[in-house]
Amino acid sequence: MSWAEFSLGFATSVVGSLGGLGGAVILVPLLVLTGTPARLAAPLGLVSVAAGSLSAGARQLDERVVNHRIGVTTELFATTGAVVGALGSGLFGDRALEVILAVVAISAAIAGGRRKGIRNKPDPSLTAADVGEHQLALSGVYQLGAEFVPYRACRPLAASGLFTVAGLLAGLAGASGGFVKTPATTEVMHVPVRVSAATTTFTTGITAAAGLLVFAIQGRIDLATAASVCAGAILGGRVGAVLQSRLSPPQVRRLLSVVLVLVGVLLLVRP
Amino acid sequence: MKFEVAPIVDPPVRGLAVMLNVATVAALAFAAVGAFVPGQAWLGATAITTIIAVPLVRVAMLAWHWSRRGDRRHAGLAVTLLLLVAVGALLAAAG
Repeated sequence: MSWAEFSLGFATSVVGSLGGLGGAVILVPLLVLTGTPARLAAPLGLVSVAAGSLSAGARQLDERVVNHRIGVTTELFATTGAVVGALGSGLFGDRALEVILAVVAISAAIAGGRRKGIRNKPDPSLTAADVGEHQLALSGVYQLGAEFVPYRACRPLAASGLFTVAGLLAGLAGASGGFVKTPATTEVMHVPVRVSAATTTFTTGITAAAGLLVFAIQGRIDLATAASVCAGAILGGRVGAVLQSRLSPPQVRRLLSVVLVLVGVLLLVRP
Repeated sequence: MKFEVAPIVDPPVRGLAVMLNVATVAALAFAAVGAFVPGQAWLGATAITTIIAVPLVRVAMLAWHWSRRGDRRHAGLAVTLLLLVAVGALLAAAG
């Protein structure tokens, strides 16, 4: 069984990182459709999320696109949701978790298909020395090609509800919640997509760690299977990052959206 | 967008990128051996412990870095985040 879970972890991590939705949102429904009970599939999803976050972390730090202050501020709400979701998920039956997963998959498909382009404009007065996050504020500058783009996050409290929902979904269903966090950061807080995606990758690792800690204490992690998924997701995350520069992310996202709708419908109609 | 006053760019947290690179390689090696070599399940457990611990250590390093640079508000938020994770673990253990 190790190779099956390794391959699933690898493939979903590659596709998930290409489409920017994370691999777990595909991995968990596929595990359920192939016979893993939903309450055991959710921790494996979080293993995939945490492994993918770790795998991408160093590269994103080098590019200085992660805003840690935005991440930590918003993560307070997501982690609360993840802990509540993980603690409460034991109260749900497998069928209820499958329906939640189906709704999550279809919601992710819609979010992925609606992703917007660039909002913030480059500032010609900025240089490479200005790149990074700012002290004492939720703002920063990132590099876009040869130009430098300033940004400032607004309305973090208005987005807090969405971050709590993202955390709840992670704790309940094992999905990363990135498909809620990234649009919340870009559309509500007006953070550029690139910074938002990198910051979300950082925060999903924390959400997953909080949920996994609860699942580990509850004895819901099958170590051999989790190790296979972990190895596959780390390798898949690296391969996905390399392929990302060669493929068209919008096309991948559209394809991924179709797959997610199909998986969501299959989960809803299965006996 | 223009900033009213020149903001201070935060320097990278020393050692963070190295820690992430080392942890990624270690987690991959532990997970691969734990998954495919019989009788080495403890290495799988080490891999899972690594992917749980690293994001939390990263937040702790940020809290330390920010507090040293005088950004007490965000340092406090980082510590609160770690406390939330600890409360979740305690509730799971109690339940």
